[in-house]
Amino acid sequence: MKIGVQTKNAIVDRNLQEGFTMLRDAGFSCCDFSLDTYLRNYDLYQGKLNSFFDYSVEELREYFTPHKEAAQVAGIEVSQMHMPYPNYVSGESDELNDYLRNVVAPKSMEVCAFFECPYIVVHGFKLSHYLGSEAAEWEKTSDFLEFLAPLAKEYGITICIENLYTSLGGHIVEGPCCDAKKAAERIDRMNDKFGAEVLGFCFDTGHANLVGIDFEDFIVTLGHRLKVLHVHDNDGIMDLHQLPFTFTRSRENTSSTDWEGFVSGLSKIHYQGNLCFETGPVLSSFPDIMKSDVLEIIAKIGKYFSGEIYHETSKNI
Amino acid sequence: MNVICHNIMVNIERPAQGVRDLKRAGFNSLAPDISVRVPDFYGRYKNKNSKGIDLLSVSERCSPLFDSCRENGVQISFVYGPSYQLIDPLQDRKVKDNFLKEDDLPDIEAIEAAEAKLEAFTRKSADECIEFCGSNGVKYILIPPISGDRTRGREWELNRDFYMSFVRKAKESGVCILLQNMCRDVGGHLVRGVCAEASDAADWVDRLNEEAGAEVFGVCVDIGICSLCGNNVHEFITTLGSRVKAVVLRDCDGHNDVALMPFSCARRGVAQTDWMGLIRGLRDIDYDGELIVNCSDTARAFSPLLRPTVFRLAKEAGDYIRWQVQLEQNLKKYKSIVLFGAGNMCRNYMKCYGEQYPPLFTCDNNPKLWNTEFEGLTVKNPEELRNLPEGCGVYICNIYYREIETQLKEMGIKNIEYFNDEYMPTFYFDRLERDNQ
Repeated sequence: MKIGVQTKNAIVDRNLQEGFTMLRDAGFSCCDFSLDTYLRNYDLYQGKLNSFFDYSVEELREYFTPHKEAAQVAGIEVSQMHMPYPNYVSGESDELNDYLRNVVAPKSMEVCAFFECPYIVVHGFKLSHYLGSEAAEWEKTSDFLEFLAPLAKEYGITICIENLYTSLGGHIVEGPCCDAKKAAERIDRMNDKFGAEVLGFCFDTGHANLVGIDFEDFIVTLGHRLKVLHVHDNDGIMDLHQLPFTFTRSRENTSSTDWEGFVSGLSKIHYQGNLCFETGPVLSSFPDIMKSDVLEIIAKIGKYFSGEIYHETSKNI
Repeated sequence: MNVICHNIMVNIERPAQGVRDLKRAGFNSLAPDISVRVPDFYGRYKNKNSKGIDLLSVSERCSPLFDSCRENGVQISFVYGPSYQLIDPLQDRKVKDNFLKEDDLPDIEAIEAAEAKLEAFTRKSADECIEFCGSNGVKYILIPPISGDRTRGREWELNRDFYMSFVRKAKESGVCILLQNMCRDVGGHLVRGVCAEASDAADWVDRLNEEAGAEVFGVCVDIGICSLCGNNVHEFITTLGSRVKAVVLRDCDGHNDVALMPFSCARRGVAQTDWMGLIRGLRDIDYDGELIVNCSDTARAFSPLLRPTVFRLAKEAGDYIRWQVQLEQNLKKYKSIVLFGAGNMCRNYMKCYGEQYPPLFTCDNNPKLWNTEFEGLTVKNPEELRNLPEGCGVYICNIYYREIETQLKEMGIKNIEYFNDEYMPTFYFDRLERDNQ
């Protein structure tokens, strides 16, 4: 099981080789390439677009060639990628939403293929309150995914939907893809339709913790459809993307996130994928000078999980 | 649909004043806890001031309350029964040593013996409660699933045996046993526990009813738990469908297990509980069960002198939710309807209900709009309302409800109703901007 981390806050365009080498030296062998940093969600929610994805596919390939080469030199595999999100902004112009669907998403797939990356994580549309039901919301997401599926099939990429959240007066509640049974059934249906594994799942531990999802049940229900992970921790209140085992909420000071369930679930399904951390904010909260130390502890936590999963899996066989 | 008061106002030993206060607050139904207190894992009672009342039988303990309710015309259709959790005693610093052997290993036999004692006590208490319900006309008893650390991985097996042991008595008594969505504690963080996924709860109830050979089991949905677990409430309710027999209405911030007045937990003017999901869901399943308002923490924080006022507001909040749930049923009451107002609310009415319940016309106090078309309706002078056909409802589609209601009453108009677009089945965010308004 390879251990990886998102590139956001770890690797910058102006010093790629140093960044990828730092990941390797910290103990990582793969990464989650944060394509979303090139078109930020904060701007999209404000209705603002930049011109990055106006580049042609050829120009994008040229732009990311140094990234690909630096990763290869450092021996870091780009094992998963995050598509810019949201892919649909309710209340924004048709022009913006058409651009996200018809330009940003297909070009993201092209970039993913260029990196020879097998998985790209996409966010489902957050439209449940607007449209009145989760089923109507999924219909819109499904339409978007089916639009991308032929490209995914052509390039051998699996698009991974992720469990998300939404907010009610600052209180976080479940958003798209928080029902494992439905997700499993929908993934199977779409893969049958396209005759290829075009759709899979990315389990986000932090998002699951925010809405009290039972990690073990969720992972076991997804089974083989679980392809990639976003591992990070929070206090159950805000989406903080911090180190696992950081938070406690009782006098006993035991972890308030169910990491035992996480390990148990992954071992029960004999998870073969990578353990990727989505912990960019940890790097911005620590002083810059400690970046490599922080990455090292993240990698060590990954190795701990990997060891526990291996140990538990052996018991299950 | 009954709007019921979760009982904290009525003292079970001396119920007269509480029951009268309840009536004055507008409640006609009470949801008391009739269970004999279940001791905790170590045989201790939590309520040290119970003065031996826990040692009385259910009948001895509850008869004064039921008698007082009968005398005052207060109905009891739903009660809370006993519940217990199989917590891990080794996680409790105060009692851990009682369950350790000399070599500091867990004394499994002692733990299992304590569990068995607890379960036997709960079963006996629940049996007694069900029988009491049957002889007192109570329809529903809430007996939450057994939960806790020590049940992990064997939740269904434990609960199946537990619930099936009540089937004969429930059938004889004509009482429906309700399960409830539960939380689980992970290091102080409350997460989804037993029946906190609607599809699991539905599956449990179906399997239990099938085995019982009758509809003996249903679900009580605690909205506070949904909030703590971050559930999509609309999905939760619609997945359970007709299995939902009771809904506990309470507010909380989604992190602390408290029972606050509905709509009181808000930030920047936005409610932190998914009331819209609840109302949409209950409409979608044509809900006609019990609505239990539980604002016990809010009420306790107020002086006893102010509590009757708190409960009046609780009743109004419950009535409001019922009214929202029944919005469409209300529309069906009239042979025809007209609207008052030609703005956003009228527009939302037409988008969501215009096809199914088409109004004859709308009217507005703005003369500039008279005889114009709006959302396919002719906008008329309110004076036209004097010539409505028999059995026609007048729906006010404007937030100046009371002002317009007064105007209509002064005109002698009958069948005045409010329409409200806070919880529409779908939403149209593009608000109407009109220069001449």
